[in-house]
Amino acid sequence: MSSEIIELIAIDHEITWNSWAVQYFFFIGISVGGLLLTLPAFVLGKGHWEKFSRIALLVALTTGLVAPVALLSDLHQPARFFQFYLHFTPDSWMSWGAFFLPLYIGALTLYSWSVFRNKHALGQPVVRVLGVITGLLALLIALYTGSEMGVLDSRILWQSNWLIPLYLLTGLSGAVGLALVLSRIFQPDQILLTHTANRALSITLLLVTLFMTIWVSAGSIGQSASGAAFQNLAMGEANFEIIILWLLTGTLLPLLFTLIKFPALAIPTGLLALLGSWMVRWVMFIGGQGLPKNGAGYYNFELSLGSEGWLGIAGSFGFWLVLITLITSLLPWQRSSSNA
Amino acid sequence: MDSGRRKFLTGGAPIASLSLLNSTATAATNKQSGKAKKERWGMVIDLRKCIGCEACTAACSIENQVPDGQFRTIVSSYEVKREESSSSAVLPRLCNHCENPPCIPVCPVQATYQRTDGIVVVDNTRCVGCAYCVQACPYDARFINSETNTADKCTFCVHRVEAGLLPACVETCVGGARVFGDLNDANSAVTKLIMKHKTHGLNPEQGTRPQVYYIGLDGALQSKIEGTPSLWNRAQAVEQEARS
Repeated sequence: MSSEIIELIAIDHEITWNSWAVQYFFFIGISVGGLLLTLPAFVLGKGHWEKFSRIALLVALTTGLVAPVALLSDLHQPARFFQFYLHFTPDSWMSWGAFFLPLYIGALTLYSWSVFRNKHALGQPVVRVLGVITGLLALLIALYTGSEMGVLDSRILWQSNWLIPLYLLTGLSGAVGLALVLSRIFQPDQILLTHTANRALSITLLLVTLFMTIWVSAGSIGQSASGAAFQNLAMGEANFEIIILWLLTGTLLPLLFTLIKFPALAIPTGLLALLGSWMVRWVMFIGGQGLPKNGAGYYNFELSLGSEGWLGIAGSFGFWLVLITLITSLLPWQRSSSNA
Repeated sequence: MDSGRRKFLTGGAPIASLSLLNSTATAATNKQSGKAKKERWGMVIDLRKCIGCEACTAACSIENQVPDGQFRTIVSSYEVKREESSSSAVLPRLCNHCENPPCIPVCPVQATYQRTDGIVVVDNTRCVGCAYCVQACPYDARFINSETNTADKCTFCVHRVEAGLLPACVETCVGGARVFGDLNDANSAVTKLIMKHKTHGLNPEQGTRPQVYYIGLDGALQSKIEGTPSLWNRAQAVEQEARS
């Protein structure tokens, strides 16, 4: 018998993975994406990728260094981080992540140092070995970040293996977007570099669009509960605007710009792709927790002005700006063999 | 009068209390020696007797000093309309101390664990406040305590149980709807109720094997509620209270 239920007394539950978690997943996703883009040059030895790969490595390093700060800030007891290392828990993806992350950051730092300090880094065995190790660790980061959420059967939007490719692809598109922006800022005369970044961005954004189409379609035909949940989330009043905004301005618009290939649009294109990469994580985290596990309706989230809200978001981007300024000022990161 | 509750305290009170204290002591000894557990604490909630007065909510909050706006247990109230008829329904919610608790394996520091008597607890001196368990619990029974910044939840008032007392919510239940006891004891009030009545757990599709059993649960309330949401907003209420 059909029934209509009205909640009289019920509580809306707090969103406990808030903006810091979004920032962490954003920065680490961009870092992993950036790192993967360095492999064609420094592991596979493709010389024409070198300039682009150096910028991608700059992206990977700077965002990779910001990520753990955001992660620590997301803990409600950050001073107890050492407990992760005293009580390893193989059943918990987060526990694995506590080991993967410092290994990845350590390997990334060594790899970056080996590339930036040496203008003949291309083809060097040490660089290649470090690139392979860091690449494998980057894949483990992608695996654990997607799985950490994907194993949670309690959250209908998250209970899925689709999150691993979603974060990987949007991390790649965001990393290429940031590399495109940096290439225009630091090497505006390198038209070939801009074209390489532009082409890479077209491909990654096309892949993101294709992936989203398949995921939501799988939801429509009953093959993916999370895909169906995403579709419902997009149709709901609370998230309709932000999802449409993400799809239009964070994915389709930069994709269109990359196809136009107008150099003056390069920086806006890259920034829009970066925004898209951030927005997908916002939608997944905040939107996912807004869907009640038991209650009716939707839990609204109001972003506070303080360190757990806007200030935290601005602060983490500010930290990244400090890092990129310092690293590009102090390290000879542009010194590639083709400049010699 | 609820025989289960009164028996726990008065139905041969000295014997019951001694028995409980003995069994608690035995359980502690068993835990240390690694022997099989004896008790398995659980709860039966007879919804036919619940009047939705929230006395359990208040008692729990006072007993456990839960911060304002956060709850270890609450009685959700609903209006259920079917064709021409309309009725009210109540649903006390709390940690289900599941047999297969999804909150435990995800905890990256093993701060949350299940005692040999089935009670799921949090060691808040170890908890890092990552909220992974909060996400994993399908019952929304966990939260980050805004004062301790660690995960918090119902413990079946373990401190009271260890002292031979009932959980505060059971003690204060006006209608005697909440019954607490040892599910491994064939003579306990909870076991007898489960044997006598048809009971249901919440969210059976999650496979968690909850150990809070409901008598008279409306099927429409067993899993996620599809309906019109409550107008009460926790965040707004706390903010308004802070302003006033």
